[in-house]
Amino acid sequence: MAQWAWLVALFPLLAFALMEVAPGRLRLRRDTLGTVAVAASFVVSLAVLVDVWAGARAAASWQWAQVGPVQIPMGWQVDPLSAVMLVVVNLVSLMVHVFSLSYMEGDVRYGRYYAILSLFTFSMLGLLLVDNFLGLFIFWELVGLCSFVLIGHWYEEKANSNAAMKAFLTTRVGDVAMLIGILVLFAHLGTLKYGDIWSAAQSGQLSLDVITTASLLLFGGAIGKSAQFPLHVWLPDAMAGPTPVSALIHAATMVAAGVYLVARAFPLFSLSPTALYWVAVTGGFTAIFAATIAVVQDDIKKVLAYSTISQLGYMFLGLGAGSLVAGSFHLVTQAFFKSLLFLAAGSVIHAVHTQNLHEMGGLYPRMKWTAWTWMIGALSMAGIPPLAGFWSKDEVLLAAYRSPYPILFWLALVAAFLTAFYITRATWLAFFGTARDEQRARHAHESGWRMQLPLGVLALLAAGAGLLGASWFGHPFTHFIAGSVPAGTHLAEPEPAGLVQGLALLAAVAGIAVAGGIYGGGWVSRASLIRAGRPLYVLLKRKYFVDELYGWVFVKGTVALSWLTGAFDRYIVDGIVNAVGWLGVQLAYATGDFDQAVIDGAVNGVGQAVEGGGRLLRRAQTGYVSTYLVTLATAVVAVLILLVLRR
Amino acid sequence: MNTTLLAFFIVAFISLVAAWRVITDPSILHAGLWMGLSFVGVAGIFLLLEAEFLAGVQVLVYVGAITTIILFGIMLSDVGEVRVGPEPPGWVQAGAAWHRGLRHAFPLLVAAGFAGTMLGLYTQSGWGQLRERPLELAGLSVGGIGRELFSTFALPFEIASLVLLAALLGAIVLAMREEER
Amino acid sequence: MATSLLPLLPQLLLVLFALAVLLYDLGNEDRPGLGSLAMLGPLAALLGLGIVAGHPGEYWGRMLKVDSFSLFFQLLTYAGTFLVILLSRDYVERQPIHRGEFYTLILLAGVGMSVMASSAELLMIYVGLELMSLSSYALVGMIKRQDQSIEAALKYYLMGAVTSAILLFGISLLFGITGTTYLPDIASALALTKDIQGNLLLIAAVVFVLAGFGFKVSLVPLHMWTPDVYQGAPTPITAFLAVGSKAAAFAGFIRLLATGLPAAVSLWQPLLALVAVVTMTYGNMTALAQTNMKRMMGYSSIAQAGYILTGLVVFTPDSLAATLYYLLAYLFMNIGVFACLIWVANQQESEEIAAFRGLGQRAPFYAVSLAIFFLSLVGIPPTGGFMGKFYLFFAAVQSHYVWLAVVMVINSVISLAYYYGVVRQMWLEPCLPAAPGAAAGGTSRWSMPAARASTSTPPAAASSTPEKAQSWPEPTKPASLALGVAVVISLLLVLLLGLYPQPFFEWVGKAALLG
Repeated sequence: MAQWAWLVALFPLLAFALMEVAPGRLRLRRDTLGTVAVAASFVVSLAVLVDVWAGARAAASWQWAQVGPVQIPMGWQVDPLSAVMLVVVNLVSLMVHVFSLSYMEGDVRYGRYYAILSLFTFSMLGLLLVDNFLGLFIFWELVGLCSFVLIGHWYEEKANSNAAMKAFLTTRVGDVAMLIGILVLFAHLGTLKYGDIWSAAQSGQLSLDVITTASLLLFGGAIGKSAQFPLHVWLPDAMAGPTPVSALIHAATMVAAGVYLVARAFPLFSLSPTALYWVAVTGGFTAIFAATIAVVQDDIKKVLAYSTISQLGYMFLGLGAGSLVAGSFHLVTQAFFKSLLFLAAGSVIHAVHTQNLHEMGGLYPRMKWTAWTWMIGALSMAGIPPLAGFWSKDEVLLAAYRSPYPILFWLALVAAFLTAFYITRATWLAFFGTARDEQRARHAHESGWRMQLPLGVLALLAAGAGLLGASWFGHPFTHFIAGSVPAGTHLAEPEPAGLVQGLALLAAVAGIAVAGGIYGGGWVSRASLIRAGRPLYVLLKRKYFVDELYGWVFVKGTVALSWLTGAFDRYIVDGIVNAVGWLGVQLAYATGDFDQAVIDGAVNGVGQAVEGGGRLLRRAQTGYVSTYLVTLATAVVAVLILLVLRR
Repeated sequence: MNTTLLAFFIVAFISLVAAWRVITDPSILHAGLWMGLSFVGVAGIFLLLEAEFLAGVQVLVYVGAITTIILFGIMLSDVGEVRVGPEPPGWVQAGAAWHRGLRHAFPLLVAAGFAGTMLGLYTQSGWGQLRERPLELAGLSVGGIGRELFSTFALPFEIASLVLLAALLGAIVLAMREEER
Repeated sequence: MATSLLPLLPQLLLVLFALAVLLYDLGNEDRPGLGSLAMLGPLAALLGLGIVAGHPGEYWGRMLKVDSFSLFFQLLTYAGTFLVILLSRDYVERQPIHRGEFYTLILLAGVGMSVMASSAELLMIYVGLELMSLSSYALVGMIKRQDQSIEAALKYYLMGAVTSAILLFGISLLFGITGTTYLPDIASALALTKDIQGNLLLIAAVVFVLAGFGFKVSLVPLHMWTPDVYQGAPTPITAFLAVGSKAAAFAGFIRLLATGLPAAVSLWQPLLALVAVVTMTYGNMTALAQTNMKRMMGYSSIAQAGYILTGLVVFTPDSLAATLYYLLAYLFMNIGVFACLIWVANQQESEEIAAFRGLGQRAPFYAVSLAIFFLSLVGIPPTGGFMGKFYLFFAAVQSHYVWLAVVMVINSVISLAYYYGVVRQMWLEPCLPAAPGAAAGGTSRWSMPAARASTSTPPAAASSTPEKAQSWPEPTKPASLALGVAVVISLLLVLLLGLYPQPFFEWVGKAALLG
């Protein structure tokens, strides 16, 4: 079955093409078409996974283009890592397709929504399937484009389209680094294929400096896509998109592409301790950084967004600590529990028409299904055994504990505590206590099987998927995933430590207990808490002022720079452009006669309208031909003199 | 200083002064006449280089044809003097006196820099084999030029006729008085 | 004689059609089929090119060179000329333009471009350049009732004349140093020179010829004419300047540097590297502030010139091939953008960026196409622009010009912002205000304090479609088939260049050898 893996990506692509070109009746059934295609993909990917689990591998490659002596191949491959990810992506995508049938019903751009969803699914699957960096980059950009379109789905509101642009631009900053990293590898090895690069790197064809540079540049792309500090700012804003989109793209799949990239390039990263160190530090710092912000968010989706950033940080921490398994395992479980949380949040939002936690409350009696599935997701994320999140987080913590930088372990432990805290807080505020908005709470209700079924399926996985990597069964996932890197790759397989498990459990329980105490038990009033820690509260509420900082430095900076060069352009119409200089144009206007204009232009051109030294630069482009000419002559002569003198 | 050199300086001086007047004379008609004089000066330089044919062509084409046409154009289009444009704003006038000096000085500075650099460069050795092998084309007879034009340079010569066609077309279209359609 | 006329066949055909158009247009009546006749010109030239392709060599006393390089650029020229005439068909109907002269001059400019591309003789390159330039000056000023158009023509002409003189001065210096204007001979003469760095006259010559070509491809600081002329010129002519003029000037540029001055590489390489970086940065930064679409494209084309120039700076067979590939992609993406622009300008009577408002709903085909062309200009896969940039980056990194590649990639991110400004107009800025009950109603019912917070709630209540509620002014003029055809051709090629680059890679690889 593995040799048919390419079918997985084909179905959504065909669906997208059909949706775009097919006329009439078929166009009306875009939702069905998309859902069926993804379902078909899911079935195939499941079969592929079973096959790969049994030891099968498949790959195909053909020559796409040739640059001079260098060949650019294009091809696909399946190995354990991509096979697992294919199933995860297809499953979440399928669930989101089903969920959206109800959630997006009656939307203005319902058809387009499904079309882009199909295109996204195709691109994401393509990203997982390709066997080379060029293909990876192409699909990398395509998923970014789809994300852009879907974040701006309700573009009538300016904030949404701004968020879309912010996401696209911010991630592209990372892409700059990534593309250069790819080019560095390409220039040194003349190949873009993963396999060739790994073997070249391991056989010592690349110096350590090159490996470190390339790895860090690639990691730059991952930082952007996976919203790690300092490029995390786009993900919270991306919540402007429809909630199912947040669940699919901004929780489970696209944002995880960065982690996938590092996991995919692990044979390269593992050769450079420096690169791994920075991956670990970035991940560890982001994990706790985002978790603290999540604690004070009022918007249920923002809580989940910062939580996603934090969890992605965990994955990088795991990878950076040298454990491929920890990172990729947490990647899988997070996809399940986080998309579950997002969809459950969607169900709540659909019912009460608000995202503000303080306008919810008391929903449990009316939305039991949603509440229970949410809680399974929450407990899984908090790390309560035997739910999935416990096992994967345990792997990450263990890897950090055994790594050369144990300080990261303690950071991650605090982050675990915070995770449990903020998710309990959100749970309590949304579902329990008194309804703070009677009107909304009274109207709340479950929204039918199309929304409940995905919640159920994902809850099952969020609870049970961890058993794959559980120590009870001898870590089957560990052995499986190790098959996705070449034999010689150094994989850290940390000794299990009872201490780590105990501390992790303790942190989770403590987080739940403290949050439950504050919000449920009423130990302290929220108001007094805010009063007590006012500066800290403001700092967190404003997200450490990172957005403000960027606004100043980059946005204002760019605008200022653009203004400066623009001032070069046309706005500086100093009256000092002398009166006669004006004349050429004026006369041409007045008479419309070309000959005169030419003559006047020539008359005025060289002799008259010239500027004094200091003002010269500022006036480089005022729209007057005389100025142009003198500038031109000055430039040429200046370059000439400079070159002559330089000799 | 031999006579050729002296003649060169005189002719060059005349050319330069005339060229300078072309762009500074407020009367367009006078400017046109200055231009004619400048062309004559260039013809003189050709003569000094013993390129009699080029000198003749220079006088016939540039002085005889081009300058005349331009003068006709000026007289027909009835524009005598370059008028002064709108009054510059007050804050500008304050600094005007200072700027006036620089305004004239700057292009002169650029021109002087250019001339100085080029003069410096000409004295350098860099002319390659040219010093040893004087340019064959210089002083070519009329017949020689004719033969060259129709053999070696036939193609660019023909394409130059297309350049003329394009220029002619463009000039006609742009200068044609627009009828209301 | 017949054998020596054969290599000139494409140019001759083009001249023939130029004259035919001119003669057919004599008299006052409106001649039917004038545009079609003009379009036949480049098509015939393409056919002729097919015949000439079988006869590589040098003709006319080494004045004419038929090699893969010249074939490549001739093809580019004829394709560009064809597409520009296609764009003009609608345009000239709506503007007070003398059609006969307009088409004739376009064809003559095309001849000039192809002459520039198919010679290794400076004299020919210069004459070709002048033919192209003089035709362009007049073409820019063709809308005589618009002051902007006349003003642009005047500026372009004056500056063009000055730089042309500078170029000629440079050529004469080269001739003075080497005693020839034939580029391979110049190269061999320079190869004998021992102290290239110390030859001051050569420095002057190089600076002057670079200035001459740099002006035509609008490199900073010789770019100042570009925005004014792009804005003032008739839009098809703007497109012509952006693709045809630029490609031909680059053809001359490459031929000059690669065939004539390879020995002086240490002189021009650092200079051009600096110029390339400044050019792309300046172009992109200034484009951000523009409100007029044509002016914005002017700055965009300055920035693109900077990208293209990097291929010359790196100066390896790969980088030259990448330059050619990029020029090829650039032709189609730019023609596409201008076709969409003309379409919009026909509907809205405006060339401001604001005129693109709501295009996504009015004309999804043009809007999506324009978006794809923009993606290609930015260099996002799977478009020809991406492949071109990737190839350029690759060539740069391979020759250890990593910093240059970094500057380019960063610049392409900046350029995203201003193209996005247009995209936002097309989709994200619907005509305001829509029916108040539609989208806005849902928001207010949920009584969220900030608009931001409500944004991701599903508009379940907002099912009455705003699309229907908005009333667009009915298109006053029927959509033009010619523009549609131009967009489709451009679109197909941009995507083809992005998805199936192999045959094109081979082609430019061969052409870049300049043999």
